[in-house]
Amino acid sequence: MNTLLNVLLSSVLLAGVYFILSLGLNIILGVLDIVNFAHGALIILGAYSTYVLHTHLSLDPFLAVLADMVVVGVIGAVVYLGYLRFTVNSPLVRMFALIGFSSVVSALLLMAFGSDYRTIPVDLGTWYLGSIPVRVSQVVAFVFAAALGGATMLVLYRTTLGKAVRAVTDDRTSVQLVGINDRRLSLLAFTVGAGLAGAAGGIIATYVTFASDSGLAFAIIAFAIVIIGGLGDIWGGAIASFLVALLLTAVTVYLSSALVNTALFLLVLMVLLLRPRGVLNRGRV
Amino acid sequence: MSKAWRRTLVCTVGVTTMSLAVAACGSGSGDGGDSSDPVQIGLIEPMSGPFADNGTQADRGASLCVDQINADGGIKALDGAKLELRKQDTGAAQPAQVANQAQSLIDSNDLSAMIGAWASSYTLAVAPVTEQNQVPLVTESFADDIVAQGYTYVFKIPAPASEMGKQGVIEVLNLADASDYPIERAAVVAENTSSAQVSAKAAVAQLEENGVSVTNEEYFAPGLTDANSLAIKVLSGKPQFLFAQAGLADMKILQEALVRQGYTGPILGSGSALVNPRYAETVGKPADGVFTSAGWNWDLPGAEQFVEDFVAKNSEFDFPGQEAGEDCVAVYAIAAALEAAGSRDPSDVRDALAQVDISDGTGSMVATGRTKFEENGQLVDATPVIVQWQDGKPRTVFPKDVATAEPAFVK
Amino acid sequence: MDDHLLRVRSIRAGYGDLTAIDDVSMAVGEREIVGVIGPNGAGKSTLLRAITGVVPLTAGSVTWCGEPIDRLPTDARARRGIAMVQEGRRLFASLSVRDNLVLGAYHADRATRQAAEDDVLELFPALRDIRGRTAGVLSGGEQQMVAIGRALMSRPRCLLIDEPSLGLAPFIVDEIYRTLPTLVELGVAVVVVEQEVGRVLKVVDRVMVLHEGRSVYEGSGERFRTDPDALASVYLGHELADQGGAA
Repeated sequence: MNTLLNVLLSSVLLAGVYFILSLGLNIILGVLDIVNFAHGALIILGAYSTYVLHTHLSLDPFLAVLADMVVVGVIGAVVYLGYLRFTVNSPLVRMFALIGFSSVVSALLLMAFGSDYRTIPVDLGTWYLGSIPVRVSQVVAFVFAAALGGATMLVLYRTTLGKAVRAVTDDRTSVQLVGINDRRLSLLAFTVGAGLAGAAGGIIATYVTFASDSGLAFAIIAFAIVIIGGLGDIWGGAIASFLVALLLTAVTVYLSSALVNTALFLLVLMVLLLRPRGVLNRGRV
Repeated sequence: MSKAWRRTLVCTVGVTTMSLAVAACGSGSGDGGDSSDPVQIGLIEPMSGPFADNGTQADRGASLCVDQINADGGIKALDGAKLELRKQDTGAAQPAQVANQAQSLIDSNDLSAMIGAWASSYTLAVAPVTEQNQVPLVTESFADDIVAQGYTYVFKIPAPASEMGKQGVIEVLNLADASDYPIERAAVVAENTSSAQVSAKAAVAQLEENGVSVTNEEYFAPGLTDANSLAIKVLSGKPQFLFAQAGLADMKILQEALVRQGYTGPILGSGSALVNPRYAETVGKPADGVFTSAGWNWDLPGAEQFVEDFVAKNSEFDFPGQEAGEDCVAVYAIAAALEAAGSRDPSDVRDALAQVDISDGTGSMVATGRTKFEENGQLVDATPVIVQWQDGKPRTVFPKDVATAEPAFVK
Repeated sequence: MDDHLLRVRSIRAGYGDLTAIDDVSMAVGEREIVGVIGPNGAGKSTLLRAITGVVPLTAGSVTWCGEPIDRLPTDARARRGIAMVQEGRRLFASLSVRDNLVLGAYHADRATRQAAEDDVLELFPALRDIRGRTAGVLSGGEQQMVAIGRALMSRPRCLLIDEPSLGLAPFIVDEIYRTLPTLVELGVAVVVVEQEVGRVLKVVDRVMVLHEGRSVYEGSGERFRTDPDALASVYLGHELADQGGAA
């Protein structure tokens, strides 16, 4: 019983971070129809930005995450304006551009920071729910992730701007035909998506260690969540985040951690076969 | 920017582009064998990339001892010829590429001997090359295989990997028993790489042989994104002892999670992460009390001068890592061979290395106090050094005759 | 000075190597209803898409109130007052009916938007009760009304409608066509593309016939109304007389 509660609690806390992890990817995919192969690189850029802002400028870790979101968002905007927008008609070129960007990022980070693993030590102590330990910093990270995710959702669902962004996901031509500058929305979406990836990296940096090549593991989780939740479906992504967190935790605890990736891919496969449009059946095919 | 930073830059660019660039990294073209020319020793190590911590320790140790020997007048039998390291960074290359790197290191220099290549897979790729080119290879690799292939040009300083895991378990159980900390249940957690699994399985077998029941045996993919669930699982059988093998980063979050989930008992680690000077700094408080087996430790007898010089030269470290010590011993062994042979010819150096027997000074700072090689190239009587991290430093607790600290067990 | 609202001169457009329309010209005056008819694949939709910039021109020009607009992106043309209802309605499926309408008047202030919405609801009272529903689950007829309503929200001066009757029950199509003259009263010129000729001819001022990407007839269309075979002969290229009109 204790183990079960422990598993559930762990999953919930993890889910908040996973949601942020997938949100940026989902927005970029939904609005721009770009499979962002640079997602992992943006995450890790966020982790290092937060690290630098925290250790060198002594910014509070969570303020640093906010600042890092801006930094990575600006980097995203530069990448988008600099070359992504010219690759609309050639997905292959775009894919290589994004993968190339990732290699450059990890090479530069390796040069600048070396191969040492880093972390941002946030030790706010441990709470006990009965006998179940809960790391306070992870609760803060969860609340932070939830707030960031909530704010994004609020903008997307409650403002005309956000509705326009969602409309691009539905039908870009129709958006243009009602007189909305979709190129600006694309830039906005890529900037925000990149910024959210950066924020996710910063949050992650507060409780795991990372090096220049750590982005991939998180990007895989993010991609799995986006597929399970339905491409472009934000609420689906929220549900998928919990499902993935629960799956990974439960498989580790009740089966074996060796099966974690297998289980994740099986779940993705199952969703693709049975519900190709995601858990809520609303995503793109 | 520092030299190391620049080298990292050059090497990184090289690695990400082509091995050609890497080959140019740190190595130069060789001259003839005039007696006033320095004696060239190849050093092939992962000095950048994921194993950079280990490779750069090796580089620091070897470089320091080359300087020491040169300051002492070089190789007297060769008219005071100086030693010179010809370095090759493997980066994160594939083993097949590392073999090519070794070949080009040999081709573009006049090596009398070679030292490398830290990772088992790298060393196993380099050994056939040195064997074929008849250049002696002194290695700090643990792999048992390296001395089981009938190579005549390989000399191996640390104890075999199989001994490391086995001996580690036996000794920690003994120490625990002696410290009145009975161990009935244990759990094993390791990354799912082949070398980690081999030593973990060896640990399981040894634990069971000693009558300890292994409640959980967990293998995880390196690069943990969450360690909480792993900790819950590992601790579900209420173990009193953990065997763990993981990289530095995973070890950190795993140990934090273990502590959070209430584990305070002893951990026996294995693998390079736990003998890394940065281990305590990275993991923090949970590092204290962790046992691990190592190829070498800084507090071994005979190491005093080396440690002092090392820390003076590398102020970012409080003590040298195991690779630094092993490669320093390698340099002293090669120097002794050069003296005995009176020749810089690699075949002569090989024959002399087979006869080397150092039992005092820095060259003898191994656990047995004696640098001498068996027929197959393995250091005579090589024994793992078992250390326990205490107050941020690894202290030797086994073998007893060279131990500098009492093992501590927290209940 | 060009007193036409929209003028298309000898345009050519297509998809990749495929030329869908070539050397097509047309003009639309204020408050005019123009029908574009022709068989499947004649290039009718391409004509509308070329006017709005969804498909780029490879030759010719498009001017709006005398200003060349063929280099402008689609959204800039829309902001000048050209609205378009695409074939298949193409609503923002995940948004509510209300949000679809709101986005139609994205650049308007709140009051203007509200007034436009009231106008649309007056035109299509049926939308009043389904404002909160998700557009993607509506019936075809409801979707068509939302699509036209959305296009009208920006108070365009010219509305291009592509195949409004496609896949809809006849009584709904009637309902849609009933609104076209009303639009004209509101000051909107309409270009309607249809395969189903009969309904179009009842409401239009002028008609253009496209066949295999070329304009084969432009004029009142009166004769097609009285002589059912006339259209077939135009398609077959037998009679190209009576051409002229606005071009």
